[in-house]
Parts: sequence; C-alpha cells; structure tokens
Amino acid sequence: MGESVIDNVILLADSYKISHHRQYPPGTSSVYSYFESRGGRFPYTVLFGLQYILKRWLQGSVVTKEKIQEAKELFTAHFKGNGVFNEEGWNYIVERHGGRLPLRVCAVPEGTVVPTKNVLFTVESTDPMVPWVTNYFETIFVQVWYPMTVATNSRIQKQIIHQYLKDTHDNLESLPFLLHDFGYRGASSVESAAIGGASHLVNFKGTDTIAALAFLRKYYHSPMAGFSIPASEHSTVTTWGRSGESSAFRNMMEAFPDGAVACVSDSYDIWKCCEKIWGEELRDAVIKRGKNGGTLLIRPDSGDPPSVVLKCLEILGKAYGTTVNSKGYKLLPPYLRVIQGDGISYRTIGVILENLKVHGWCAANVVFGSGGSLLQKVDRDTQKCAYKCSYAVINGEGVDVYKQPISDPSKTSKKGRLALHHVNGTYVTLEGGRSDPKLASCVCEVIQEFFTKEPHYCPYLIQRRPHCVPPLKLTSRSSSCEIQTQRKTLIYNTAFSNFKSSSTLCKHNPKENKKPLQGSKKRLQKAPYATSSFNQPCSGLLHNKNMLNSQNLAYKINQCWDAQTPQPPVDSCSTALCASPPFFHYSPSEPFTSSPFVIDAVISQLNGKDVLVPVFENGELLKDYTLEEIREKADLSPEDIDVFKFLAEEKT
Amino acid sequence: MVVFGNVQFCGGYTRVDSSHPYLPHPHAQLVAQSSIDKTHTMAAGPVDNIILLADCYKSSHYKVYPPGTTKLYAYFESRGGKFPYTVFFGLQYILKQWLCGPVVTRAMVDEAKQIINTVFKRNDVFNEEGWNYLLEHHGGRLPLRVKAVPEGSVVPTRNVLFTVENTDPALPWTLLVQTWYPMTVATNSRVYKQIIHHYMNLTHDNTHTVEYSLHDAGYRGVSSVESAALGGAAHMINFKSSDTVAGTSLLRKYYHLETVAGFSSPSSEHSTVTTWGKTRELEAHRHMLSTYSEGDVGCVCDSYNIWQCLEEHWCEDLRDLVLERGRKGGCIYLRPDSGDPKEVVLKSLEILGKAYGTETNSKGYKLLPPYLRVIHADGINHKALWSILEHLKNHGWSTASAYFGAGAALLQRLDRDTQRCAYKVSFAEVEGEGVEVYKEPVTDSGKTSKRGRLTLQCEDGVYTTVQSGKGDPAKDQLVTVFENGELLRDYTFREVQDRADITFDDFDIIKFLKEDTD
Repeated sequence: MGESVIDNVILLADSYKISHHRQYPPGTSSVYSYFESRGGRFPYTVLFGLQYILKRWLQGSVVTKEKIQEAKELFTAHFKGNGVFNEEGWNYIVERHGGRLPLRVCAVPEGTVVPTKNVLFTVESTDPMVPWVTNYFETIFVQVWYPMTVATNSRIQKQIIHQYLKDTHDNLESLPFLLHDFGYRGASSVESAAIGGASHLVNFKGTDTIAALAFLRKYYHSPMAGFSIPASEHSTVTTWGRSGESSAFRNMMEAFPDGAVACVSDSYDIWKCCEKIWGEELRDAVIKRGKNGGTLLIRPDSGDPPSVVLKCLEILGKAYGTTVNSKGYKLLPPYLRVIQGDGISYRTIGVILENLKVHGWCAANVVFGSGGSLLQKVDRDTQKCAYKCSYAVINGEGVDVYKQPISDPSKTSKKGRLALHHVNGTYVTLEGGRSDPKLASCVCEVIQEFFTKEPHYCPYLIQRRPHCVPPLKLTSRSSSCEIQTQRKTLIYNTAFSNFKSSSTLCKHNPKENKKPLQGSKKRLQKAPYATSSFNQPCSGLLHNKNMLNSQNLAYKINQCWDAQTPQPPVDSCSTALCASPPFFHYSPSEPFTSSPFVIDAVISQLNGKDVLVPVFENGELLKDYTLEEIREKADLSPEDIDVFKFLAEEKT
Repeated sequence: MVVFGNVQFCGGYTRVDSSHPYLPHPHAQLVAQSSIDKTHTMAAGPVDNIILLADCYKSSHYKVYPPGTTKLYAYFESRGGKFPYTVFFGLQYILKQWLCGPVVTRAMVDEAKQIINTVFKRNDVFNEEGWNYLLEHHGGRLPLRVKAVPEGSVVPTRNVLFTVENTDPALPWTLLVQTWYPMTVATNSRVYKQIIHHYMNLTHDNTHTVEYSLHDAGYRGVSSVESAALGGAAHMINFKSSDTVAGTSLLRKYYHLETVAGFSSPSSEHSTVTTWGKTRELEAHRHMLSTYSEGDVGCVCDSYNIWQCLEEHWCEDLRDLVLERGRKGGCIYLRPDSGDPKEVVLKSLEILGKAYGTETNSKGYKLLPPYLRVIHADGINHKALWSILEHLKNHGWSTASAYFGAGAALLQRLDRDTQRCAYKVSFAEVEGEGVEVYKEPVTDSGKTSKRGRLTLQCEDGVYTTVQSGKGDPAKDQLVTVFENGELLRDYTFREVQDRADITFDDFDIIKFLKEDTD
C-alpha cells in the first residue's frame, strides 16, 4: 500500500526530454537553469517543498541498470522505436557516479518570502559529459510550483486574518489555528494532499489532512506539525434522522465532554438549528460543557459566507450573550465559536471579517476552514512558475542563454548565472554579465568551484584552457566511498595547480592604476574564512588544507584589486552568445582575474548577500531544513507587503 | 513491503499466484511486523498507513453515529458542474493502491493511535477498538462493499457513480472522494476530443488523426507525481498522444496495459534552441533536423521572433531539409508557443502555406503538405480550442492542419467543484432498521442529497438514478467491484477506452459550449 506509482527516476520527465541530449550545441559541457515566479496572482512567494523533491526522488544512488532497461523498453515503445533513448548517458551516470545525479542545486532557504520575478533556485550539471541532466529534471523541479503556491496562498490568508485580529482583538494567540485545512478529499491525489497540506502547515497549525503530518515527519523532521478537534460531518448527523438532529448534537457533546468539538449545523435548517437547538434546547448543555473547559464550534456549511457567518453570530450572541473586548468589539462567550468551512478563499476571508468588523464583531469569533481553494484551486500559472536555461558552457566558453519571444515579452527569461541578494529589505536578482559589478556574485561561485571541483567545471578559467581534464578513471565496481576519495584527491591536486596558474595570470595584469578601494579591502581582511560561506557548499568535502588555499586566493585577489582600476561592466547580453563575444566580454589580452567582478563578488559572498545556498550536489543533500526553521523564516514580519493594498489592487 | 503469512502484500493488492492475482488468502494471518519499510525510499510515498488516509475528523466519527448503527451506505455523484456528463475512471487505482488485501496491521494501528492522540491532544478519539476488531476478525481486510459503474462509462451528471457500504464507520472515505480527479480529467479531455472530432468531421476527409490531436504536456504543471500519473492516464483514455510518462506507468501497474498508451516524438524545448545563441537559432533547428533525420520531430519556434523564424528559417533556409524529410515520410511539427492562440496558429499556417503550398481536401478546406504541421501548446483550454478551430475553419483551413498540446488546463485547472463531486451517506441501518438519510440545507438546495439505497438504470441509452431502494436490481448498472478486501472486477485499459469512445448519438458538445457562459 502506498507504493509509489513511479519508482524510476528516469520516468520523472516529460517524454520530449528524452530527445534533448542530442539537441544541445556540440561542445556543451554544462547547462545552468533557474526557477522563478514570473509574477502572478500574489506579489511574493514562499519557497517550500524543494527538499521533499530532492529527498524523495533525487537523493542518493537513484539510477541503476535495471531502471535504465525499464525506461529503455518503455521509451522505445513510446517513440515507436527510433532509438531516441539515451542509454549511454544514463549508463555513464551509473558507472561514473554510482547512479548519483551530477547536479548542483542552489536555493533560497525554504520558507523565505521572496517577491516574485526573482530567482528561487538554480540547477546546473556538474559533469561535462552529461550536461543535459539539468533540464532533464525540469519536469520534477517545476513541480515545486505546487507546495510553493499553496504556502503562499495560505500565508496571504494568514496576513489577512492577522490584520483583522490586530484591529479587533486583544491578542493574537489563536492565529495559528484560525485557518483549518479541509482539503484532503479535494486534492487530486494522496501525494498532492500530503504536499499541499504540509505547505499550509508552514503558516498554520490546524489541519485535517493527516497525510501532511506523515509527510512532515518523513521529510521535514517535524514530529507533530498540526492539530485537530473532533468534528461531526453531515452523515453523523443525518443518520439520526431529521427529527434526531438535536440528539445527534447532544450525543456529540457527551461523547467528547471536554475540549473543542465542531458540529455541522446546516443539515436541514441552519437558522432553526442555531435558534432553537443550540440557542434553547441544548443551551444548558453547552454552558455546562463550557464550565468543563469545552469549546463548541458551530459550523454553517452553505449559503453566502459573509451573511451566514454574521447571522449565526447574531443569533448565538442573542442566546448566549456577548462580552466587549478592549478594542470595543463583541465576542461570544469563550466556549462558543463559529467555524466557516464553505466557500473560503483569500478573497472571501477579508470580506467576511470586514463584514463582522463593520457590525461590531471581533475576528476571534470565527475560525475558517478551507479545502479546494487552499489545496486544489491553484495552478502553475497562479504564480507563473517557470524553469529556464540562462547559462551554458559551450566549447569551454560560458554563454548567456535566454528566450525573448516577440509574441509575449512577459516570457522573456533571465540571462547568465544568477545571484539573489537581500538589499535594503528587499530581494534583487543579479543576472550574470550585466548586473551591478559591485554586487555580482556569480564569479564567486567560480572561486568556490575552483577548490571543490575539477577545473573543467569552471567556465571562467577554461576560457584560457580547453577542458582537457580526463574523466576520473573509475571501475564500475567503485563504491561511492571510493569515488569520494578519488575525487577528493583530484580536487586537492587541481585546486592547487589552478591556484598557481591563476595567480600567474594576476601578475600579467597590465593595468597601471593602483588606487586601492579601502572599504572593500577592509571587509575582505575581516572576513572569517574558515567559517564563512566558503566552506558551506562543500559540506565536509573540503579539508582544512583547502581552507588555507582559499585564504591565499583571497589574498591574491586582494592584491589584484589593489593593482587595477575597476572598469564599468560590459553589457554583453545585448550581443550575447557564443558565436561572438564570450561571457564577460574581456579582450583576449585581459586575464580573467583582472575582472573587477571577482573582488566584489567575494565581498558580497562574504557579507552573506547571496541568498542562494547549495542544497544538493551530486546526489547528496547539503541542507536539511526542519519545519521549525521554515516556519520561522516564513513568519509574518513588519516588512511584509500591505495585503489590503494588494487585495484592493487585485479587485481593480 | 509487508509479509502476511505466505501472502506477499505488495503494491496494494495481494498476489497468491499469478493466475489469480487478486485472490485473497483464505486465512491471512498476521506475522510480526518487523518489516514495515520506513526508510525514505522512492518506492514509498509520504503516506503508507491506511488509517491516515482520512481527514482527522473522521477519527472521531465512530462515536457519534446513532447507537446501534450497524450499516452505513454512501454514494458518490457529480451534482452537476461544468460539463454535462462524466467519464468514470480511476476508482480501480485507488482500490488496488490502498484498499485491497489485508491493509491494516498492528503497527499501523499503533502508529495511527500515537499520531491521532497527538493531533487531537486527547486520547478518547482514536478508535483503537474498532481497528483491532478489524485486525482480529477480518485479518486486516476492510469490510466494505463498493459497487460502481464500469470504468470508462459516460454518465450524465446527477447520477450515482459508485456506492459504498460498510459496517465500520471509521473507514477511509476521504480517499474514495479523490476519484473526482481522474474522473474529471477524463471528462475534460473527452470534451476536447468531441470538439476536435466535430471540426474534423466538418473540415476533413476522415477522423484518423483525432486521437493524436491533443498532446498532454501537463506533467510539470501538476501538483505531484502521483497526480500526474492519474491525470496522464485519464487523458489517454481519449487520446494517444502524451508526454506524461507517469500515466503509462500507472496504466501498466493498475490497468493491465502491456505496451504504452500514448506516443510522442523528439521535440525541442527553449533551452535546446537558446543555448545556441540568438544568432544561431537557425543552426539549432538545422541540428535538430539532422540529429533526428527521419520520422516526426517537433520544433519550438518562438524563442525570439516567431515570424522571422517561420518566414526566414523554415520557409527559406531549411526548405530543402523539410522537403527531403517529407520524401522520407517524416513530418515536422512547428510550435509557436506564445501570443494569442487563435491568431498565432492561423498566421503560422498562412506563412507556411504561402511557402510550401497547400492542398484542398474533399470538404474544400486547405491543408499543409503532409510533411508539415503546426502544433500549439500554449493557453489551450476547451474554449480556446473551440475558438481556434472555428477561426481556422472560417479562414478555410482544415482542422487536420493543426495539432494541440495542453498542460495545466488539462491536468491541473480542475477541482472537485468542476463536476461538483460529493460523497454522501444516503442509508443506514440503526438497531436493525433501515433509515433513509439525506441532507437538505435551507441555505443551498443544490446540496440536497439523494436518499435510500440507489440503483443506476440505463434504458434506451438514458441513465436514471432510482432512489429509496425502488430500483430494479436486475437493471442496475452498478457492479460490485470490491468486497471485504478483495477486488472483484479488474478492468483493462482497453475496455475503459472502448466504453468512453465517442458515439453517434453523443452529447451535442457545440450546443453545450454555446450555452456555457462561464
């Protein structure tokens, strides 16, 4: 039971992906793609759910010979047998990498609230032999749109409720329980329910979608992420017969004599039910239960939500009395609330609460439940999610890649390697080659790679040197441990030799002006290398010896900086691409390290400005977030957007 | 995988021997639960405990039915909705995946107990006794009878589609409601097929290409891999064209598909064109043609300037290669991927028609040469499709000139309200007496539910649901598909497809579209 429909990583892609490996330009050794929300309904997105995809599908040794054979058989039939399937490429991944995917994923930490139109994560291939893996997994990576969109949608609703609670109530204690997830049955599958339910729990703690709890235990280290209360449904009321409605309620209260219970009350006539049954017949029982610490939630489940909720409150208020809180709003007795679970979306919650406010009712009187709108009525276009290639290494040269359809300019994609910076409380995506050189961090990654990877991964260095490093000679019997060891040795060796060659390049720098940039230099000197982000991406792979090297390199770079004048960046994108000038548009006589980009990139990295963090590399998970961390990141903050302004603008 | 005696419980249903794949073991005995796989492997999804397949509040229900309730009878219907009928599909997956065989184990009960007690922060909610009873008296099999209309049947809305009866109220019903999804996709996709079929009839000599005319490009736009598999499979009931490989996997596993149900051909995407650089778009296409030198290929043409790409590259620079492929029997599908669909498709056809010439078919409509077609896969929903085909027809183009692809509109932009699916109890036995059960909210009469035991009868092609047990069981279209943990019907995908096929006296889809004002 619960066995996955798919247990073959090769089948996680659209079938046209099968044919792509032969379509890239010959000489392509790396493909770099990014994921963004190109605008959409909500002004920001909460990134969530990538960790699930990485852990469930991509982590570890996922490709095997059997899986390759299974996929081959399927695709041969699927393409009517014209040999499209890339058996060789997949076999290479098994033999060379022990079935681990040579991919690197850098992402904003899960839970981060990022305005739309910014990069959220990037994916690149790390083995020049199989550059196509980056986009082979587009399909599965793009599915992040779902948890991300649900988390965003649910957070918007939290903002709305929060605002009304602040305006009309003394405290915010109940906020995490004011939007309950009813969406299990309305989700398109158990897996979707689990993912969507978990995304809601990033913001709230009330859920009926148990699948989400299992999901968060398994993938986000959360022992118990959400809570629920006993509640009736129509069948548990209607089986008592039309005349037995009040017996059904009485039984419900007796079965659960304390704590909160919810009773659906619209089986026949909600008004009569509130007035006669709850307001008269069962009044004493409700009050008695209240004395035992019980709370009763009355659930109308049909009709026009704003007026139904108000009318229920009015009827119940008349029967049970109300208190007025410090903000001057009416509140039912603490043992009585209304829960509205029909027709709730981010659009209606505000209307309902506004209607209550206008009529003098506090927002804490009502709890919401949401099903379809929360977990299902969203799609990839809600936040216009896209995964596009922005950079590639072809014949040893890094080139910007982008699309720019004249028939829809909004689909234009970003160019070059990307960085996401948090500047003055907002996020900015820097595109390689034309971003502000003071902030460009793309080169910084090169420096990291310089120490962690074989040199042919480094697109900048190989502008000078063709990628001639032979693949590691591994027998197919090598265990992953052996592979790691061999790779480490190679990393040490190449890092060292490269370091030498690049420092030689520095000395060749013909520039005259030696005016130092004091600020930058100081920051560099203060930088705590050993604990800085330098060692993050390598996650234990790097040895202290390499740290020394990185200090050395920074020192050398520092010298270079002193030895030159920063030049305005060349906008290479207008003319982009491999046919003509190379990525950074340097004249051939100008060595790589003379770029003003390098230094500032280092600074920006050390300042922690690049928010994209390596989370996955070559089959290994580098970050493992807990739900608690994610909740903290996604929490409401004073910097938040004005949700009412957004709602008002959306209306018009 | 869990082992019960000598029955291997794997993939949701029992296998005793291959000739009787669903024969339950007569006395399945529980063996110590040491082997529940809790590792994070791809094989197991996020949920592997059947007790956790229901909304939390279901856990509290066993206590709140009337005392003496011994039977509950519920039904599933589409209470009306966007489309006038539904194609029933997907229940078999849910039954096989989650409910067949001994599915409750002691370990699951313990796990669920712990979770439920924490979720509710109280220990009087979880029905441990009920589940233990199930373990002891039913060997962990669900005492449940499901009767359903055969999968693939096309049934007008507001009719019962399946009924469930059981003696233990705490069973996972939430799960069965999820049938709404494959069912709604199958329905939606069939509506597309009817539209294409209608226009093909009007503007082309034959309808041979209809089942290849709508390609499923929705894998990435679906909310999970499982949903993609379900939606992708549902689409393939009606069409043979799909990129959602997961659908084929599902059909192989749960619907006895032997080969594949949908086909595809090599196609480019933006990244494989844009990596060549803006100045080398032509090279990218040329490379594509030489790499896949025979058969069908699809090329995306809007990376920069769709019109320039069509006029200069495809009509001039690559003309010889296109013609040569044509001589070898291959076809090129050019894909504009942005802009107003109806204008973009027409303009693309006009440009290509001017350069390559057109032929006129017996109905008097223009057609590109057989080696050249346009495929549009951006912004296609059933309304857009209708307007494009109408637009082409008005400009003298045959429907056979264009192919379509759909993603989100096909697999994701649907919800339980699209066909307003509901699952309601209509009958119960309390203290040995049958009681009709219904709800009838004064605030929304559309939510009134059916009453009593139901039968679905079909006379002269017209389906009617008869309520209150007044139907004739002999005429009942509902077939018992599941009983006490055992699957009784195991449909093949072929059967499902046949039942859902378009018929002569089908719903008038164009009339429906004209009346549909949303």
